[in-house]
Amino acid sequence: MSWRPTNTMGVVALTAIATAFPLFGSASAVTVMALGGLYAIVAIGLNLLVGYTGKISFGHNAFMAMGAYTSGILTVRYDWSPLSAMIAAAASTGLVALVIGAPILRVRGHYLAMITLAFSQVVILVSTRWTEVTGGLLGIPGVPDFAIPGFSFDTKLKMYYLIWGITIVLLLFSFRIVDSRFGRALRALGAHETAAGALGVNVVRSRIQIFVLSAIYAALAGSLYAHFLNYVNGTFFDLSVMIQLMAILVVGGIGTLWGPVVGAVLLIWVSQNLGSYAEYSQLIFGLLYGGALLFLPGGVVGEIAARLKR
Amino acid sequence: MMDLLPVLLVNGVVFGAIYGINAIGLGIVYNTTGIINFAQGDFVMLGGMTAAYFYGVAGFPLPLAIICAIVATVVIGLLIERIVIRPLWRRGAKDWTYVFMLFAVATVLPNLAMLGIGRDPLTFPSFGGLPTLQLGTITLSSQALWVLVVTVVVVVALQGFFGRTLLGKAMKATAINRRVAGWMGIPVERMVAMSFGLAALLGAIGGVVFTPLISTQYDAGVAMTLNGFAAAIIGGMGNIRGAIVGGLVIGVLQSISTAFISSVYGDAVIYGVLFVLLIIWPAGFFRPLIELQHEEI
Repeated sequence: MSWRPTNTMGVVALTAIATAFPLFGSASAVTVMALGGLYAIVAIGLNLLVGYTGKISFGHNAFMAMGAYTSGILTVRYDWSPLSAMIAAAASTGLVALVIGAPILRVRGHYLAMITLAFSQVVILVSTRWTEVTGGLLGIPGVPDFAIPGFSFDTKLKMYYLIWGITIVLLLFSFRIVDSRFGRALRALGAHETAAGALGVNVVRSRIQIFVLSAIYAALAGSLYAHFLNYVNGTFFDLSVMIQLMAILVVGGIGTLWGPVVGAVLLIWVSQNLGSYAEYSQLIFGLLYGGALLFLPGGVVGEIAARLKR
Repeated sequence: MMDLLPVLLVNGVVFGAIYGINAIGLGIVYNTTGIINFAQGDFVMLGGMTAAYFYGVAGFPLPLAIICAIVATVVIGLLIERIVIRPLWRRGAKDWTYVFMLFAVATVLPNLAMLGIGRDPLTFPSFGGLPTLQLGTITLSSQALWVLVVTVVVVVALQGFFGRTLLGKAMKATAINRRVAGWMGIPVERMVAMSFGLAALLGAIGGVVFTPLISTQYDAGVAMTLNGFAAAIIGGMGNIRGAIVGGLVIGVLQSISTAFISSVYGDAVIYGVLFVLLIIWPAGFFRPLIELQHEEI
């Protein structure tokens, strides 16, 4: 799982494919793949958490929602620039994750999973009911296009490139983390908590750091989502989003560097091609990742890596 | 508003009893396997939904519908263990794998219930047979009385089971130390299957006695799981009496916060309390049956 030349080639290939895709794909395919990039961002963060610390969050849909609402509210109501709103979204969501994670991650076992599930239920409920702030079920329309000084991402195509650019940067950043001293500490943690602790890894602190980082990834994706659709609504981030994220992780391959991106692209494609079966999407995703856990424990990427090694 | 308080208390106790039963189910699976069963609430939902189906659609008489619902839910619980848990167990999967898997189960079960039985809230008539109690200004409906009676019976039966029967003691031994239990000749895998069956049984019983009070719906499981978990945290995982006390605390808190704070944010209050409890008192107010040996999963 450490850095190898194949990863450099992989990143080059991914950049090339992502750059060239709009030349061949239709406008709707570009939109779908932009969404795939957003899911990939969240999945990269979650993969760091689950794959390298063994802890699970069922609350990353809520972190996405918080990112989206912070961006939406600050840009629409308070005329913040999209960039500063995005930074505020990432920072405030990270802070919330710290408040949740710091106490809970001291406790052993999977209490984080349960607490984040409760947290996300509350966030989504509040987001659709607290009309004065979130616009209730109507959401927040009119979110401006994302812009940096001197350039506005005012078309879906420009947003597509922005999203995949950020995805690739965050992917590279996750590679760096995995390959750093911190990353080795994380892997030691995932392998054997007590042993890692005995070797001087600050177990609780590492876990909290990675949880907060993964929440920030989710907030960034949520913020981009708000600018991409020019609209925020809490129902976009309900439990089914978390189910899809789980499926992306498992099918792609948890604890593999490339799993989240591969899984996100595969599953966004599946979910957009369900057509008249869209009603069954939760069932399909549930069966898909349950089945993958049983029959494809390393996910698609893990399986391919194992085949290549032979 | 204050005249409401006794009524709210009674309501809270009745609902809390169900959360308590659910918390016992969570604790049983947690103790034998170290797994938090994210599908526990769905057993409650399934019990209620299948009973409503057997009664309302298939036209069974109520007692038969209830028995069929309980049997069906237990079979589903055993199948879950057999099909998705045991293969992971045998290959020595990492512990987060179980959480993912049970979350998948908790995704698939409600969707199957929705497709197979329906989207709408369902209910069936009260069992009858017990009188309506009038205690001063408070009315305790016959079904509410059923809930309380069944809860007491469940607690007494479980304490007898774990305290006096060989099977119950074997399950308890598995909970305390899986490896040593295996050396003693206890079939650990069968104990794991038993714990899922028992958890499903408890969930189904909770579901069938509780559904006539209001109704149930395919997506009712998540809240049931979370409320049961909150009760189990207060009561100490696996502590039967603690689970009931925890359930009552959560039920009463929910009932009061729903009435006095906000009907929408009633659940939010419970989850907030759960969060604070986990911070200040992660082991609960009651002693858990065992402290989980994390390394041995």
